[in-house]
Amino acid sequence: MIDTGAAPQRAAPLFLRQHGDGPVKLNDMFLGLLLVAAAIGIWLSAQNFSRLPNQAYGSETMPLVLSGLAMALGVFLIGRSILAGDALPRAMRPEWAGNPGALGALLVTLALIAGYIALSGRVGFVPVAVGLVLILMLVMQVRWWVALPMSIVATLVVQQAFARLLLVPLPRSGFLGFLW
Amino acid sequence: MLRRHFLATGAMLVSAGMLAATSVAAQDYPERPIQMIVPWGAGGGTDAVGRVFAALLQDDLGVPVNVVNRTGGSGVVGHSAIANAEPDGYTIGIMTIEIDMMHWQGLTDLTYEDYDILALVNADPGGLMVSSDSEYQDTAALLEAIKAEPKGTFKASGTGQGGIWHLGLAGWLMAEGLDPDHVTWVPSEGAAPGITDMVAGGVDMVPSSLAEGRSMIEADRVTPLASMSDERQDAFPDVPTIEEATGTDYTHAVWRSVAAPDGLPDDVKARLEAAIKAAYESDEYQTFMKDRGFGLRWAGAEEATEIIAADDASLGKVMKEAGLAAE
Amino acid sequence: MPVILEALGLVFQPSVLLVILASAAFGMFVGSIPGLTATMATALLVPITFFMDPVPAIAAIVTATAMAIFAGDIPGALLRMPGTPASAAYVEDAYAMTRKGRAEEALGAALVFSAIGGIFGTIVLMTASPILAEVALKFSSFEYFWLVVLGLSCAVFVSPGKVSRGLISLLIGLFAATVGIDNPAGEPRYTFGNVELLAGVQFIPAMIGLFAVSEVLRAVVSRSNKSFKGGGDRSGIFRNQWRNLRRYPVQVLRGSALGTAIGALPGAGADIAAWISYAVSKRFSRQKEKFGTGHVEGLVEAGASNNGAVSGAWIPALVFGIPGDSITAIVIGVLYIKGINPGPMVFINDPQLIYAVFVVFLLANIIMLPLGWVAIKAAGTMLSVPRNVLMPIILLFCIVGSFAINNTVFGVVLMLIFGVLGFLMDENDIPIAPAILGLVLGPMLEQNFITSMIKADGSFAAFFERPIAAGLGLFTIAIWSIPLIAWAIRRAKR
Repeated sequence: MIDTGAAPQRAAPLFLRQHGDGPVKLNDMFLGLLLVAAAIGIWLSAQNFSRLPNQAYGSETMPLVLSGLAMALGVFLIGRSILAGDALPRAMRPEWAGNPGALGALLVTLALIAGYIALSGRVGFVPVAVGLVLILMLVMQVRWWVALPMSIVATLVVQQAFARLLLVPLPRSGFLGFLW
Repeated sequence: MLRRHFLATGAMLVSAGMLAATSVAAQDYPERPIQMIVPWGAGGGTDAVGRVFAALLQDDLGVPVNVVNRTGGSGVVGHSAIANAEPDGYTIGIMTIEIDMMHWQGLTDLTYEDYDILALVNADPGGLMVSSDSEYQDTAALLEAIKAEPKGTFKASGTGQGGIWHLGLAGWLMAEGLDPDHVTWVPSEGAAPGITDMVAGGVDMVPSSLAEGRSMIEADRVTPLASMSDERQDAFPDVPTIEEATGTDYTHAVWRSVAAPDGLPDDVKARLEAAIKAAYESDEYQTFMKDRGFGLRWAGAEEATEIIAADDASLGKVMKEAGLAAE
Repeated sequence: MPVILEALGLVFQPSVLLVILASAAFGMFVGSIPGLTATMATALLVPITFFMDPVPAIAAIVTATAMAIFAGDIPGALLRMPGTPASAAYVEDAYAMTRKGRAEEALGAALVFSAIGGIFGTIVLMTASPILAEVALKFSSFEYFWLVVLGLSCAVFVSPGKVSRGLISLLIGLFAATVGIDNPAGEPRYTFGNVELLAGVQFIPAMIGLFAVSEVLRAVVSRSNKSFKGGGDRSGIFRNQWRNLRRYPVQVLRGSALGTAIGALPGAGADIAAWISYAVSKRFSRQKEKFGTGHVEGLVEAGASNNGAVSGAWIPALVFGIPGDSITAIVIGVLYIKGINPGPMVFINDPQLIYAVFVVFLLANIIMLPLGWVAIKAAGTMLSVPRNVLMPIILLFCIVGSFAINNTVFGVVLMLIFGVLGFLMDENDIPIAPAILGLVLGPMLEQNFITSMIKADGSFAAFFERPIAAGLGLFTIAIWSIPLIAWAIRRAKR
């Protein structure tokens, strides 16, 4: 559990040590401020919860403990950043931000999942799933003559495996009822 | 282009789906698989009852009856799922006594009136169990000690805070002239963890059904003190009722019922009721329940609704007096 | 002796062996799909077992669960989508090996050492059940509280990168675990009046979101169309396992023993076992720095521990009828249906049945090797599919898996939320695994703390009054304080 590292005579306990120099998008100062904000938010929300009758503890206990931990960790990160002379909250650009269309593709993917959530109950699993797989493949630059058969086959395999074999009640579409 | 085409197809499918939904009438019920919603987790007693019923109904109705566990939220999630389904006979569920409690706690607006109750198929009286190491090996001695010691000395467990066995204990304490919280309730995730904790020395008693402690009773780790029923239970002939043990007339029982969302077509309801009655009377069900130590109790749709309504009123009263109901 | 022969006779019948083979294939299939659990495989088998004799009925369940739990490692290693919280402990190492073109070796290790752990657990089950069950009965909420704290500590210390970011991840998981009504006070928290949220954050959809959906999102933004492996995977499934066994004999034994012991506790299971074993493995390793970068050592120990715990869970189930996990809970139900009442009497009344169960355990763990080989080979072909074709299909599996755990589209909502969260965490070097453990153990932490305080009338001293609790408590405190003290001493010397 304890990593003694390369230079034992100077090594701090693991959780006080700064290591891992990879590209970090939010610096410690930023995360520290976020943690302090979260701690305050949780503390405020915990005021609505009550204790068990005749006890000092109840449903407020866990949120209060978490709030305390988040506050301690946030203050520690802020303090360490200030001592290290890195006192400004910074956010770096992620490396994929340079890829053309990356953000758009990300948003389309999230919208597709949201679309499944909104539509599958009414339209049924099969048409929505085919649409989701097909559009995502097209977004990821699969040729349409590959994407179309792949999306249909994948959906049917999943539908047969889950609805028939594993008895998962996937939403049915009226006219495709014969598949179930 | 492709995308627009997809949208058009989608719109077509929506209308086709709606058409299909309305045309599925009851003339050939059942013609597709039926879902049986169980509001409690796989492995528990309610799940077991649901699965036995599903297997037996499947034989009778000739279509697959699939058990679907909708767990969590102290049963609210699963009971809501049953009530909110289409009343077309293709969604039924096992309804438990919690339906008579959760609306008093302010967790939901649902009550038994939101269901078409088809039958009551099981009832288990509460019990009173202590560890075999306990110094109180009969109910009278335990009650004497509870009365003699200050409030909060004794601890009990077996369900969550405000759960059914908590109410059973609170009701008994009130019947004996004590405060409902004279024995401190230690919340647990069910009877089995409560019994384990009692044997480990964590709590003093568990007021759950004796069936839930059966293996530990047979292992001589748990002593059953009393049964909260009118008569002794067949599976535990040596265990006295509360009335025999302390002279106080007190009973408390949980039940399981089969229910569907309110508004079932009459012919579908009749078909289901017949199938459930046949399943209840089958050898498989009777043997299964006896082997597990579960209590057999039959009530048809009307009687079941009356029982459930009566429990709703009495549990509400206990919960208000014990301070467990929402204001 | 005649009892054992009778037991062998019960098992070695064509019909029973056929049931074992069929349920093995079934378990392998269910387990290898992210989102489908061993518990689900068991629940699906129950109606079928109604029509079987006791021995094949138990054999079907035992075999299917053993396979399903191993198979959960397959999507973990190939796609970084662990099938169970237990396999999340070593998913980073397994996935790193896949990226180095050593997927077969990683899965081979998971397979072989799962089997060894399972066999070890079975031998313990056969020889020491009554004693271990007695010890397990001594565990109350005080002991479980410390065990949970120990498990959570391990997750923070073993996660790669900065410990502060591991702690952030743990806090996220613990906070998500507070949602819902299933807390000791039975009061709804953070549900915003939503009925589905009353049930809290289900960990399977959350886990699929954090690990798998975040991976899909990364593939979408990176716009890479290549398949995972350039050349062929030549590492071999079984080739290096003999060497691994000779190199890490202590690790295998330690993992199996610890896993079986933790599994035997009714309130703890394979997830805590795998994490503690992974942490122990790293602590005593001579190559600590390699953990998390595709090193097989932790995989060997935690993999053995994981399956040891699965066998261990049967100890309290058979001896006292107390379920060690949700699978044994179902099995106890099936045993009752078959007229076998688990408890001490079954060892006296039906010893041949108990021995038959043991034989099935051994058989299941042995048959796992060839079937696992087939499953790994079949799943491995997935890696040669271009990523832009594979990822959309994986997303479909994620959605269906999230739906299937509770048959509600709300699972997909959770998956989406946690997918975005996991993506953001990945982007900021916040490890994901501690959040999973926080989510799984958070409710146990709260439950055991609050009930302990009620039982002790609010006295903290009670956490040290019982001997086992005191031992576990002091050990946990030592883990946290010794590095601090050592650091302070070194500092003072300078």
